[in-house]
Amino acid sequence: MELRDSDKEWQKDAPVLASISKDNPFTVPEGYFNTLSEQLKSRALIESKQIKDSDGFTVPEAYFTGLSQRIQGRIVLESTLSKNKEQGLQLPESYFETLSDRIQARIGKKKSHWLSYAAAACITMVIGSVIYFNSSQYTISRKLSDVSDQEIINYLQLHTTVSDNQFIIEHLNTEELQQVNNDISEQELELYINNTTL
Amino acid sequence: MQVEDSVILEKFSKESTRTEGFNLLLNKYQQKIYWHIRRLVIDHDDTDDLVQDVFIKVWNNLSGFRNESQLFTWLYRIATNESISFLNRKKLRNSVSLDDDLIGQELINTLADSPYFDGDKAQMKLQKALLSLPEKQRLVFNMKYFDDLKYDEISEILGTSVGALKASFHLAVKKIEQILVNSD
Repeated sequence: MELRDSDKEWQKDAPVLASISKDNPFTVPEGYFNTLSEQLKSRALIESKQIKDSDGFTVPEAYFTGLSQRIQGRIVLESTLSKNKEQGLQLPESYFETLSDRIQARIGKKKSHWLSYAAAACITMVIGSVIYFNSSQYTISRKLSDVSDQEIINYLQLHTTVSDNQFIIEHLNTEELQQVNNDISEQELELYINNTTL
Repeated sequence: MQVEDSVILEKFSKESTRTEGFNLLLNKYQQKIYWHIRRLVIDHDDTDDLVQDVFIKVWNNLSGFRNESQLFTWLYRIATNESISFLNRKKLRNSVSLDDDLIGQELINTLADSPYFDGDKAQMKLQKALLSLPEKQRLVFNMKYFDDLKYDEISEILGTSVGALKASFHLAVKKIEQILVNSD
């Protein structure tokens, strides 16, 4: 009675509202509630299969299966990293502070080495040149000794020039000049001078 | 004939019959809970998600139910809290304040675009008028007007006194009537 009276009360206050149908205007896809039941049953089954401890906390499925391997892998990784830290990439104390001085010292050593090599090379060249030129003269003297005086005279008469005569004159020493004078008479000298022009 | 709540609870309490008890519970309450949520959140897909969340919570927590209240008020309470939380998250996602007017307008838009609304023009006007009400007032109106629940039961669900609920319902009726009259 009370419910009906209260129902009537609000209908008196709201006639437009009261005239509107109370039928459910909302709809659902066909077969929805059957599907919903099955879905809920499946989910409940999944929930019940999850691992629970006494506190009601759960873990992901198959969590403990791989846990041991993950822990071992982590141990190997951590130990490898710590070894690398000990063995590699460490520097001696004050390395960079002394680096500059050490580099300079090495440059200095390299320079003295270079000089010593150069000096040795020069000396070698000098000695070698001396030997070479001396040997040349000796060879020339040996070869000239095989040639007769008349052949030398004939060669000089054919091939000497005025400049050669001047060279010979300038390079005669006193002893050689004296010898030439002894071999040539005054008349031959006078005749030579009158017939040649310098 | 519907199964008694006591039978459902009895079967659920035993490991061997828990699934059977859950099935009985679903058969009895799944549609009631669905429509209760649907009237609040409007969209079918959102409702579907929430219904599933509610019943999974029921599955996980029914063992701890202590008969201090009726089973269906306990179910309604869970469903109501899930729905209110959802609407609050929706408000925050849209970067708006927890303002009923703005979320109300969004739900009106959802209603207008929904393929799962089969009502006539008047029913559409009524739903739009409802969506302009504050959330709790809309809750009370739905449970009283559509679900035909007693004020005691609504009090148990919402934790609000019967007097406050009666006042809230009558205010809601007046507002809706005003909106319906002015909309013509």
